[in-house]
Amino acid sequence: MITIHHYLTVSAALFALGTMGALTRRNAVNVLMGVELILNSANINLVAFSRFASRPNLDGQLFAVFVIVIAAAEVAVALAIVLTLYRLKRTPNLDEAKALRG
Amino acid sequence: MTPLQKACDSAARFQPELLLGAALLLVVVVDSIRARWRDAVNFTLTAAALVAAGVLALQTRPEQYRTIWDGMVTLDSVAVFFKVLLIGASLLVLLMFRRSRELSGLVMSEFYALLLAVTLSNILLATANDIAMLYLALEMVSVTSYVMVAYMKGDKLSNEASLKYILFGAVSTGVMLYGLTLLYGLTGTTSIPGIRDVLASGLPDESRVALYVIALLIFAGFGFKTASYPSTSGARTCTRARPRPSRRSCPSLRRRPASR
Repeated sequence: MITIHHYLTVSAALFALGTMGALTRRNAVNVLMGVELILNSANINLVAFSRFASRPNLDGQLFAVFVIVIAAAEVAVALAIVLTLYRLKRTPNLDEAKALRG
Repeated sequence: MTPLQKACDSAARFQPELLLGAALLLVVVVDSIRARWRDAVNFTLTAAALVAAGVLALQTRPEQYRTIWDGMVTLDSVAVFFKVLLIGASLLVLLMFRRSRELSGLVMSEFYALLLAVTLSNILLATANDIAMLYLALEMVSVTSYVMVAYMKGDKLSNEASLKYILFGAVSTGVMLYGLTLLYGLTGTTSIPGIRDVLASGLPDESRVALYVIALLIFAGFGFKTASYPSTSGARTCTRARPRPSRRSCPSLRRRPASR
């Protein structure tokens, strides 16, 4: 029997992995993959809560669809900017983008 | 009321936002005409749309608090105040950019479209009444401002500031979103007044820790996005990079960090 706790455990694990990926990677594309993991952990949460709520409702599922769409848009913009970085500096590594020192 | 009547009623009270959206699309269409006059036309179009939206926002002033679009957006005098404030700020940014030295060689039409988009999303953010709407509006503000910071394509500083802003911003919205989903799980609703009612009716003691964690996650995300005190690093990065006047609309920036 799969309960809500199973879903929440998976989502917490994904969130932790995503945060770790985003914080420890040098390559900008890998950082973006970490961000995707964080957003998808939130999606799992939303769908699980929507299904297992005391009064089941579709709010969570609707929210999850929006999150998926927004994540796609955000990653498209982020990849465009990473591409510009590559064109200007010939590297996708974040620690080499240090002109601002911030 | 049938759903269609309700939607029409909501649309009638949503005129400033609809006007900004229509103007945004029109600016994109005019920009696709490769003529020399398109920048001037788009400037006039943007300014006219902002002024008209401000006037419409003042006209749709409601007598009392109410919500439209099935409780997604609020409409009251505070909402009208913020609409006028945000539209006024955008008008100032528009006028400042007209005289910007750094952008003088660039095509400005895309910038006008971005400015209209950021105004529209700021208004939606100020009037959001549902955490789904809140997240949607916040992300729209973010994505448009990422592009605005990177507007000078060949400039290394502009590109780097935008990259840092987008990475910090994406992680912080991810964290905030995780907090919002936990809040939805705890209260069973995405409507902000609904959440308030559930929280006000008292939670069992074992949910209290969860609530503290949720508050931490949500404020971490919001703190970065609004450039609030402990998390001003993103704002500092953006203000130090070029297109200078863009700092006004950077991470919902109204304040300017003192010095580095």
